[in-house]
Amino acid sequence: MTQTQERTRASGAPNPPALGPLELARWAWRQLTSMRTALLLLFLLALASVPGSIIPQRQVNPVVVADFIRANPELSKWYDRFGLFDVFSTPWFAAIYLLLLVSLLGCILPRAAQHWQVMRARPPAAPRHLNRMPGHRSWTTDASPAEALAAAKEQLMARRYRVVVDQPTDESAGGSASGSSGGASVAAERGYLREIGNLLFHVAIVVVLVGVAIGSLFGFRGTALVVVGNGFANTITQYDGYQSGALFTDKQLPPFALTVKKFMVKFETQGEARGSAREFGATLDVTAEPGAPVREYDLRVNHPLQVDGAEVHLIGHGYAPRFTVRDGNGEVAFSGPVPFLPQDAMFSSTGVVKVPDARPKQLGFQGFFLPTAIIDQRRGPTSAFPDAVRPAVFLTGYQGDLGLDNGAPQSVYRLDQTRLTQFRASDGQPWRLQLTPGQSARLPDGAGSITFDGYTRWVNLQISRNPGAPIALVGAVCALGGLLLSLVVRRRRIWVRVTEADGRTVVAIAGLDKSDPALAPRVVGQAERSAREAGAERDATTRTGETDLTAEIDRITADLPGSAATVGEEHL
Amino acid sequence: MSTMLASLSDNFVHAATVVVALGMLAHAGEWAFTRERRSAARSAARLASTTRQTSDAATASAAAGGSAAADSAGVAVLTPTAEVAGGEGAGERGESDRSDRAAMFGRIGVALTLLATVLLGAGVVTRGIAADRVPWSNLYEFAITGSFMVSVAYLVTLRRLRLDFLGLPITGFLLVILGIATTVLYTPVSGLIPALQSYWLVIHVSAAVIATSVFTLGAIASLLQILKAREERRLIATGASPAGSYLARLPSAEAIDRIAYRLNAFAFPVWTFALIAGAIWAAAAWGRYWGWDPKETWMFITWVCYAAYLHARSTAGWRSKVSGIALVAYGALLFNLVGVNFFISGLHSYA
Ligand code: HEM
Repeated sequence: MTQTQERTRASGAPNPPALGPLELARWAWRQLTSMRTALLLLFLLALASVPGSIIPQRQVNPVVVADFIRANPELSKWYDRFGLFDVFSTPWFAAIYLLLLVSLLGCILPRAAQHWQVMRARPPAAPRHLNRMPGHRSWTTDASPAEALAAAKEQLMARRYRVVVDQPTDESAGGSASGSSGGASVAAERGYLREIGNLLFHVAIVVVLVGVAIGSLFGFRGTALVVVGNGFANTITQYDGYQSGALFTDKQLPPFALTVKKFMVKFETQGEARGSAREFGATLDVTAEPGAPVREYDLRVNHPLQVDGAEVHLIGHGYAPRFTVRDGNGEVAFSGPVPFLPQDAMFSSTGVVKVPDARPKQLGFQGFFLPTAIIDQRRGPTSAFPDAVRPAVFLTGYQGDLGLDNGAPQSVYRLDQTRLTQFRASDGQPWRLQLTPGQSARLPDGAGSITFDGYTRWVNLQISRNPGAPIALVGAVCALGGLLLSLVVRRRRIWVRVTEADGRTVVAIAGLDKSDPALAPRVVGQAERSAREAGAERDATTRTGETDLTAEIDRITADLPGSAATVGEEHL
Repeated sequence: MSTMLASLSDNFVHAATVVVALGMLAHAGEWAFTRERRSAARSAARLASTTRQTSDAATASAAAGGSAAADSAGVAVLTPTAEVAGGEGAGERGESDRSDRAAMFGRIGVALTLLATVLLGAGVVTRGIAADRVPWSNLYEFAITGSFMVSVAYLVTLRRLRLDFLGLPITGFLLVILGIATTVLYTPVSGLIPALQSYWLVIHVSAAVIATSVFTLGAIASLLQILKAREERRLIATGASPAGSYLARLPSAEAIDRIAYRLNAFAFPVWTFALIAGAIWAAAAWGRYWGWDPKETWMFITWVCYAAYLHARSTAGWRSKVSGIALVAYGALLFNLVGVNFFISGLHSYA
């Protein structure tokens, strides 16, 4: 930790060296991989994410973005210029996290190498003055120096310290009685896992990002609206919305097919949350590939269908009123359900019915479906409850040319009115009608009739594959494990030195906690410690890191021979 | 049955609010009585001198070969201090009366906080039973469960981290949250919408609630640290002796910083876990584990800010700014809880 700090301080030098492209490159690299840069990049990443949560995002909700652009055309031009509708896929956002990634690797790989060295090296030998360490004790004992040394070694090893015994060299042998140097000593270190955890955490972050990248390159996601009773075959033409990664081709779509047999939904009928869905689910018949056996699946929220490497999620539902339209010749020109899109929480839904087969002129209808129709004084017809308690449709009609033949793709939820004329009632007002299930109405001018046969429901399915997700998950779990290790494990060094004075054995023990870089090594004096015990001085109480260290030393001390007789502070 | 339990829960929460208010008064009394306490420096000097005597005594007995237990030194310190205090003039005696009373008020404050926590816990549990699910599907429930967790976190760490100096700010904080919860945020019991019915929700939200409550303690500590550090700088600059204010009674800025670090460093992995659990839940419910929904985005921003906080602590030149960073991170967390629910719509805005 101290090494990092020193390294950072050195690299944080404000002025680049005078010249030389190599020096410059080295300087830039050191800047990039410094803690300070990592910190700034982290802040930048947080800051850059903010607009993505405030400005509507295409990736999250394209409809809202389209509305926003229509409402604020000028502003939107600027937003678009800076990619503010796609913050998380803009080059500048990518630049930040890629720089962070490089910085991270540039920081972590050398640290890993360094830690490898540290782990293979022996614990540093006891410093000259043990009493200058943040936690220390010393006492005399009747046990022989060899016994004391052996006991210390055993104790530390039992606590899973890595232990090295240093015998005194000739010059320092029989040093002063103060126990500050000379004599045999034990050097012990523990908590190598802390740094390993830290490295694991950072490497795992890279793994998560790799998983995300793989997912967006090799994955696909699409949505399809399927009316209950109808089927869906997994080909690109059957999707309403579809996006896939750059390295995914449509041929790779798994060839499954499914039929939506039933759909069930229950709504809250009481209380403040009246009208919110309590439960919904669809029953599917699934064939994994053409010719494979059919299996039934109960598709519910939080309970996706897994088929052939893809996942099918139920993400929405709505109503498809059923109509039968007869044309001016009296022929049935259309019959079946037409999906209407819900506009509010009470499922007031809008939609259009296109009848290209009607003769002599094509017919089109536009209007809304209300599952529980009421007439509001101010807003007109509206729905009061999302379930179909009192369903009704409200329509206006058109005749002419639907514009379907010119080949241009057209939304099934909108009428192109350029070559259509609206039916008029006898008073010249637009012709309107309201139908309840089973009712029919004649169109003006003998253009035919329309029957509202009832309603069916539809479900919105999301079909997706994300091969990167398991990788990202493994990365995330490793990151969590590494994080826990790096925060929980304490890196400690303990030294025990045994000397002889006046025929007795003097044992000195000291420790250093290298875990918290902010924890400046400092002497906790006897006075302070007693004060803490007396509860009199609050300040001394909260040096928890040191308190833990002191406690550990106390515990070790307690198991060493002759620890009862303390050598006074002044004698150390 | 369930309506009875629901109103029982409301009563528990109201009672807890009242008890927290009383606890805050008790802590206010504690500070009122310690306000006039003489400078810490003076009592420290007195302590140091008595301690020196004791350790000398211990050394002497050690030299004599006697095995006087080192432990007794702690006891020995107390007696002379009490004598010294008692031996001085009437003013000093008045002072020690006052500090006795302060300690008593402090204990009453903690006891009331404990009682409030029990009441609040009962409120949370009955609410959960009444709704037949985990009690955090709206902001009201999040607020009561969250304040319960904050007070539990405070009481659990009170002794270990010696958080007694947080008594007043914590009770004040709880009172504000509970006050807002019972008046503005109150929502009657209702069921959950389907996307929320998953055990991953339970895991995700419990982790988020635990992390949030510990981050809350950390943020309060960081705020105090900033105030205390400013006070310390002022004292050094002016050479004034510490005034008998609330700040003077706090631990040193450095000590508070360390407490804040321990709290935040505990909460950070829990938050990371909540983030992962949330992604797993989103994958099950919406078919994508991450979609930059506003709620997810702010959870990410909060995470990055706390990562920056942890980094800043080991970055040269940034040590003095860490409390500020912790507060920024906590601000992001709060915005996610309140702001995103009210101002930004997304899949998560179920409040
Ligand atoms: C995606 C970006 C990063 C994230 C989310 C991140 C997160 C974290 C977290 C949460 C810790 C705290 C763990 C602990 O206290 O032991 C940490 C520690 C650390 N990080 Fe990063 N980090 C990132 C990038 C970097 C980079 C680029 C560097 C190198 C310049 C770096 C160097 C370090 C070091 C040296 C520590 C240990 C500090 C200590 O022991 O307190 N990190 N990082």
